[in-house]
Amino acid sequence: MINNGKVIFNTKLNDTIYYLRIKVPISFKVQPGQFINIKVSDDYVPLLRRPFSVFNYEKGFIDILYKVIGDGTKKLSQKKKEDILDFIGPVGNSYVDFFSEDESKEKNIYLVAGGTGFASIHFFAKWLLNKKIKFKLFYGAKNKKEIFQRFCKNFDMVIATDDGSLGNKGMITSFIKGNRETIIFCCGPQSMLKTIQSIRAYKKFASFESYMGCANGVCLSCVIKIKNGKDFDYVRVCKEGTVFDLDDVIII
Amino acid sequence: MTNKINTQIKIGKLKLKNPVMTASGTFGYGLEFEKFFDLSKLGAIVTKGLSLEPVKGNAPQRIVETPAGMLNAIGLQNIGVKNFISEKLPFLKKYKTPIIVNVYGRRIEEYIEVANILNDTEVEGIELNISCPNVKKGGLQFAADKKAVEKIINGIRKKYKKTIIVKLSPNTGNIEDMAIHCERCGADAVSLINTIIGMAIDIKTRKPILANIFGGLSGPAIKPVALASVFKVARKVKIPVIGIGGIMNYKDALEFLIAGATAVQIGTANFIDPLTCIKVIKGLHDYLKENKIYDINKIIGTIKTE
Ligand SMILES: Cc1cc2nc3c(=O)[nH]c(=O)nc-3n(C[C@H](O)[C@H](O)[C@H](O)COP(=O)(O)OP(=O)(O)OC[C@H]3O[C@@H](n4cnc5c(N)ncnc54)[C@H](O)[C@@H]3O)c2cc1C
Ligand SMILES: Cc1cc2nc3c(=O)[nH]c(=O)nc-3n(C[C@H](O)[C@H](O)[C@H](O)COP(=O)(O)O)c2cc1C
Ligand code: FES
Repeated sequence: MINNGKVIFNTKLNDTIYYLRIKVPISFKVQPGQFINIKVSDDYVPLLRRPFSVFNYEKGFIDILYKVIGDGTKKLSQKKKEDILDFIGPVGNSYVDFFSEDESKEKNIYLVAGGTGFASIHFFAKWLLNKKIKFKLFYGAKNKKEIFQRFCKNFDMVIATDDGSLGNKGMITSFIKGNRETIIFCCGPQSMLKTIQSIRAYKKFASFESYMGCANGVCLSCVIKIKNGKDFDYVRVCKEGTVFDLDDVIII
Repeated sequence: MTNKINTQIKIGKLKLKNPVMTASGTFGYGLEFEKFFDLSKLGAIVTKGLSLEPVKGNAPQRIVETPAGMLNAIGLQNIGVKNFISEKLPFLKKYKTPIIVNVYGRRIEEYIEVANILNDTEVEGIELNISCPNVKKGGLQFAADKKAVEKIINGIRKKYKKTIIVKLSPNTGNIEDMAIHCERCGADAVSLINTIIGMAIDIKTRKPILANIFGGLSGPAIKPVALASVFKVARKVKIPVIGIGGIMNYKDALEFLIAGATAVQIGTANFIDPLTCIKVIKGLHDYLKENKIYDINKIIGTIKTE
């Protein structure tokens, strides 16, 4: 669970986004949608670990794709090749837990990624590709720079950017036409997930992000609202999630 | 030849194999840590605060990081004492570690009811949380109210036969006075400190970052405050003091013991390194061995102030 992995590379892809590869033991297993909780600092600032979805897995290596937004991700971006990275994981459930191969034969699988939500969706897309299961990826971001086509070989894909610098112009969600034959798996900002709630589909599943303290189910900081009859419960994203049936979630 | 080192300490009727306990709210109901280490190694496990009925807790955002610390306003989300006894305790009790339940009530009677329910279980002690900054009722309302505290302790004592610890904070009133008061009322020990009230503001939106506006500060940032509180209280009471606040390693723990704490609790550090408790236990043992101090009790309260 607690791992020390060597940094293989930590490459800058654009102004703010980095691509990091960590060496892990061959026995390390991870499923699409799961994340790792990285200790980015050796001192007390920042204090808490930072969670990142696994972007890619190959025997003996895991990758993450992350955006620098504050002190923690900045410290992570300063890690160099050969540095040892302390991380806990894999944590959380997986898209695979909600996936049925039989169902996928009759339905259309749509993956939707917004911004860095692309990380976990990418891993799932590779998993599907490996199993020769057909899917369509809807991929949206701010602009051309934040769309990583180089990782999308052989994906059937629709792209949208806010400024139209690549693909369609506008929100990616406006290009999804769902029906009762559609199964959606998505990850991205909550505003995107909320929009997807109103798209017609047979089933919808989403991976959520939230502010995390422990990523171990004990601090109860990462909760989201899950319907319970007419009422709701606060449920942990790090333990019961990160992937939920999207119809069960109350997004504020 | 190696001399055996005694790390056993006593809190009320409780004998702990070492002075390291988990702090409430940072260790869940214990079971999430099974995958990291053998829970039998801990001095004691203190559970998340439990009330009579389940509590939903506050709206998110519930935590935010601050320099060398964090603010939390969880709002005491918990499964309720009865669910704890039926769902969690059966698994917890197989470990050779005393279980202490952190108790929270909105009314005086609720504390007493929860304690009475626990009296007939394997739970070996209770820690009364009268100092939570994140709930409107209970929590702080009692922290400065000596009459209420007296009613709670006396009410519990009527039936409850095991160890009673009262958890205090420096948020309201005078923590030494309150500790003395708890001792007089018959508490077996006091634990301090609970989190310190704080807040953080988003300068873009000018809104408080926590939905609850205020939160409780924990982590290394509060260690000096905690240490001073423990030092002051330990000089004034005869019952054991349990030191809490910003302990990240065995050196921090030693500071608390030297200041007068009989035991320590580890909180926020569990989030960063789930093995912290185990490392502190080992660190203390190795320190005693290296310094040829064969009994941990010989270090407690040995601060030199001249
Ligand atoms: C399960 C999970 C998986 C994630 N996967 C990825 C990923 O694959 N790639 C990636 O780039 N990021 C991912 N994130 C988000 C990433 O964890 C945060 O961006 C990071 O923790 C920010 O740390 P920081 O110290 O740089 O920023 P901070 O200084 O902590 O925060 C800067 C700003 O970001 C906000 N923020 C902080 N944490 C989060 C969060 N968890 N979610 C949303 N906003 C936040 C803060 O409120 C603040 O406004 C994931 C988060 C979770 C919970
Ligand atoms: C997320 C979180 C939840 C907490 N919940 C409780 C609680 O339910 N009851 C309680 O008495 N203290 C609670 N505390 C306070 C801790 O037990 C401890 O007193 C405090 O965090 C200071 O110790 P630390 O700096 O080692 O974390 C909580 C603290 C945190 C960070
Ligand atoms: S992050 Fe602590 S419970 Fe989920």
